[in-house]
Amino acid sequence: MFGIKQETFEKNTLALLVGTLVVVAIGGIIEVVPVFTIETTVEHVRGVRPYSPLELRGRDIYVREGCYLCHSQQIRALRDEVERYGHYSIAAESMYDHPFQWGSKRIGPDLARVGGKYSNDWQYGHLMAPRELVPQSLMPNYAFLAETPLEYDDIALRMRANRAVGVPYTDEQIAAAKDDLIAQADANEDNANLLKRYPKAVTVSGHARQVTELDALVAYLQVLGTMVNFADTNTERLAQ
Amino acid sequence: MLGERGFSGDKAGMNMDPSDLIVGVMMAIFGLIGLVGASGAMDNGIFVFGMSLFVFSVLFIFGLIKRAFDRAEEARHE
Amino acid sequence: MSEAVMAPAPIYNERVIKACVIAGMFWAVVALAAGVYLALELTWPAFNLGFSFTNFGRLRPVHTSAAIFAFGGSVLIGTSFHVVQRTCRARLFGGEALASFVFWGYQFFIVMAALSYVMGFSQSKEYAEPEWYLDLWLTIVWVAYLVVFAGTLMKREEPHIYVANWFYLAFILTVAMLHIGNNLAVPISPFSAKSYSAFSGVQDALVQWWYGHNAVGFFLTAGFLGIMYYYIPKAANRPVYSYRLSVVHFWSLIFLYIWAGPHHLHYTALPNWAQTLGMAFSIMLWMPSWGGMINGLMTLSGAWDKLRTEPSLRFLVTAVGFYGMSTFEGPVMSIRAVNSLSHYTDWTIGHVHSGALGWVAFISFGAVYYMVPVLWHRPALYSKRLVAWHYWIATLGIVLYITSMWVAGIMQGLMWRAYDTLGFLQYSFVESVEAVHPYYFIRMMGGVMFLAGALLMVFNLIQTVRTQPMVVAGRRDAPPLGASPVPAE
Repeated sequence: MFGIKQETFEKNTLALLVGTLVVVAIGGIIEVVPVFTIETTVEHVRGVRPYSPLELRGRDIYVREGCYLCHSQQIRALRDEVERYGHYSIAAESMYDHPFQWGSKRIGPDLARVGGKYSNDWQYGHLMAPRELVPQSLMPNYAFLAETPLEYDDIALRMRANRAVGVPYTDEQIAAAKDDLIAQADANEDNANLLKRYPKAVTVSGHARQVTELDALVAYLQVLGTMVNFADTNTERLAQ
Repeated sequence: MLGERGFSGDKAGMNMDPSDLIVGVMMAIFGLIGLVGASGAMDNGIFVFGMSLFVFSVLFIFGLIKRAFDRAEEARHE
Repeated sequence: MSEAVMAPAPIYNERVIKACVIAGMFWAVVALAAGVYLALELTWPAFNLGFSFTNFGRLRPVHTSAAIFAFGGSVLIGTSFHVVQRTCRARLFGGEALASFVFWGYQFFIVMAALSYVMGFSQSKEYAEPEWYLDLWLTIVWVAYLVVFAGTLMKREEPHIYVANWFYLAFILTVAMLHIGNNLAVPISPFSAKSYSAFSGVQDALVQWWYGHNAVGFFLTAGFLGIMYYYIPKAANRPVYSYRLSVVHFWSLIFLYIWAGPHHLHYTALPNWAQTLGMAFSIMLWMPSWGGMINGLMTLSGAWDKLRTEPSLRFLVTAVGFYGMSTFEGPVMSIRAVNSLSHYTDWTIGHVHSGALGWVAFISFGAVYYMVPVLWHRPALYSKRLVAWHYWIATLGIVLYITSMWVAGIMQGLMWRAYDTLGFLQYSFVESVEAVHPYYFIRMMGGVMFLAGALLMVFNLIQTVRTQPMVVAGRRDAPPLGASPVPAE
């Protein structure tokens, strides 16, 4: 084909190297690059915002503990999934997820819209000892999260790294990160500023004295899937 | 003769294989990077990795030196 | 050719190959034991023990990394160094030090990666969990590996590059490309282990599965096809069935595999065109996969009786059979309608393990059974009977594993989409969790059997080296009867 002979590749290491590289690069270029460049890949919907500092830390813990290995965060556009979990997931909802947490296996249920589905108290109790609430559950106890104080001295660094990869945190948000984090972790704090910067952020009922990793994780879970108001939009607009 | 032939040749004494030198220098640099990383580490992840990289580099370089002597020894016995 | 024969045979670097074989067997046991422990946790969650580091979420990457990268990787590096030296009649390029660096640097990566998972550092990208600093280290090691391998090809004494080496080279090269592409990330500080992926959401998902599926395609397939193309002809003492088929197999396989990733993302927020493209190429992939399987199996035509006398051959051939089965199942599961049922269920887990245990582990076992007497200069293995026991225990283990996961997976898929007569969802999620419990137990028993077989193998190999008398290298050191490119001696 095209006058290229197999013998060329078989007798010349460099030709084999370059030939292989070209052949394996084609698929990636044609398939992957357009998903970055085609404008309609990610829908324009209102409501999706960067995670609040406490939610971001909660997400870090979700990543660290490997929650994605048992819980997907991607409701497929199938009738039963929409009835079970809610509106199918749209690309915009994970546009600030570095990395994505769509998962690939459901040993437990999908969590894409778990936010607001259960009370804070249920989430705390369930994470501490899942089988107390759901006897058949296979989930490990995450009680140790309640005993681990949350580290947030580096919260500004984390937000700046997110900004470097495209999450639009403002200077104001980064400057107020620690205040916002504490405000969200304590039900007694004034959270007016927090809600201005991060609408729909759920204040968790921490034990006031010290912010724990469990507080952060619950704050993250409670915002999942709640940002977009689907009454605002419709299938035609999402399909674009 | 277990399928091993040193490159130190027939001359007695140390005759270094150039790859020993290149890899040795590379490892020395990695070891230093490990130390620097561990000294400034913000978390256990980098600290453990930095220290381990340092120890790994030192052991690897010792290994290189030992092999060079072993090969010289083999060459003398041939 | 006569020159090559007359020139004194180069003495190969066998030290590094032996080290890889030992490491590979060690990691096989670790990976299988970790798998059994995880299966135990899924059967009886109390075995989590409540520690952070024994949780499924932290140990699962230990299991997958130990199986794929530690066991599979050590075997691939070892066999590729074995094959490339013998088929090129050249000692490894870069001297002993560089080869040692590849081996030890890679082992260091594995230990550090496993340690980092249990300590709580993960990028949360499947099969690419190590954080940015370990990714950088692996990149250095991998470049050194490419230099050693390609350098040896360049200084070869044979005019042609043997077919197994094409596959090894494609594996090394493509894994480098995938590794760098998928792991682009920004650390929060050069002194912190935590980083955030350069991509987000739908783009990150596509890049991940471009990587993830080709970790299967190039690490677990192309590399191990290199093993097939050398060790089956050698063990059967027959040339590869068809040279022309090898050429078509190689180029079509590496071209088609790269496209298949999006079949992991059917019905998700990934654009439809990308899903369809992924599905179409996955189905096309069936052809080169079976072409390769036929090429491997037909190599035995006229030599099937050797299955009785050559212990490694039974593993090698069964592996190719499992390869054919998995590469048929895969395209079926990539069809959107089938995937709507199978995705997120244990069917996927079963599919992966029919490939990982049946293909990857079996072909590795076959190659190692063949290599140990050659490398340690022993006349034969300690016990053929033990090999037979290993073979049957492991095969039964695989059967238990994959059939239980088929049943569990299809049951989950059907329960999740079942409606009652009033039009409501019939089952709550947790009912599906309860329903698969017996199958999780059967899966665990399958894993125990596979692990037991591997332990028999380790014992057999140790006894081979310890008790068998040493012999001078014989015919087995000759290059394989090639598919024309490499002549027999």
